Amino acid sequence: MSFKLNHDGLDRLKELFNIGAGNAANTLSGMIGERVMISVPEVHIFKLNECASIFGEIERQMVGIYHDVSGWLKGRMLLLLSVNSSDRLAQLLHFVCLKGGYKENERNNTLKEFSNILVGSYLNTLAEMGNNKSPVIHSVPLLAEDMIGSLLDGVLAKIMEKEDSIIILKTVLSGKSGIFEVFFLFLPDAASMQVLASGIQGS
Amino acid sequence: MRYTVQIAELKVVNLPDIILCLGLGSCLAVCLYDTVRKSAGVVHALLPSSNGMSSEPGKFVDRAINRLLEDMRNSGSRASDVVTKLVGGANIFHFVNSPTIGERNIESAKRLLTRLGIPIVAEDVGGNYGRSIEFFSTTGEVFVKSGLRMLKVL
Repeated sequence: MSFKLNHDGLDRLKELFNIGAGNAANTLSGMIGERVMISVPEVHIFKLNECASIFGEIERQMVGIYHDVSGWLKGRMLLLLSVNSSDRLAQLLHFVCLKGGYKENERNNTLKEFSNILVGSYLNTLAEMGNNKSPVIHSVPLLAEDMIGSLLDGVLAKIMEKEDSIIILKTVLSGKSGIFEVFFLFLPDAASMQVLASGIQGS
Repeated sequence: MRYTVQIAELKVVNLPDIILCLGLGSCLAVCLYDTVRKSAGVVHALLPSSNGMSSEPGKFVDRAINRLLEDMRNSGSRASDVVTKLVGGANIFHFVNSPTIGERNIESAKRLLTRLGIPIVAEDVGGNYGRSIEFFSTTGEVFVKSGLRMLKVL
């Protein structure tokens, strides 16, 4: 493990993530014209064999949307939604009637665009707070619907060639009366985590 | 007993135990079966090759297979009685880099198994969907489940 973070460092990172995710929630709220709740952000440091347990059932079907994050801050963004949440959120966003003639393609395209906007909003905040004005870019969204374990392991493989543990920042955005839930995850590269922590310290 | 093998873990069991690997995406499950002693071993590996790096024994396909075979030998198996079945190595998010991690995992396993002279008797690999397996030491059968698809028996 090549990163060392003390408790203060972790708290600061959590705070940063909180502000970024808060902005993303605001953006989402603006898109659907409703209040969006945000859970207390969590920072987890996992060993490989513990990763899948973050969501309980490894075999639960979910929709995942993935972005590469590059620039001075590097990592991966992953949004995870239950299939029900995906349908409802797409309806809210796009006024698509998904009943009857089920338009999965339309739903997926809507969710990808939604993810694009949300992740952009989140990363912009992070880039500004990190005391560094160079841009942070996210790749076009990739979407898949599968078991949580299967969605995660390809992403883990991208990060864990040289690391044996991983940092996962997690928060949940949810709509009024739990109509939808979005698991919002950021998996920073270890090196970027250091840059970020020292950046905040200096500010 | 039923044992679940998580990412980067490996396990050997004897008659009549069952091993499970859940939610395989790009990960590869290498199922080794001793047809004489009826013992079963599985690795749930994440990445193709260790390049000499030391880490958890089950993380890399190449190191994991060597280690698993060693464990099976230590419990009395002969390499000549062992056959393999491969499951996993998918590309769930349609990542564009080629070869994908899944393909590299499959390739790494096949290369090593060929070199060790262990026959691959069945496989269900690649594609864009996740899989879960149940591996029965009584018969050596591997049940492959993937979403709404038909149950496959290898």
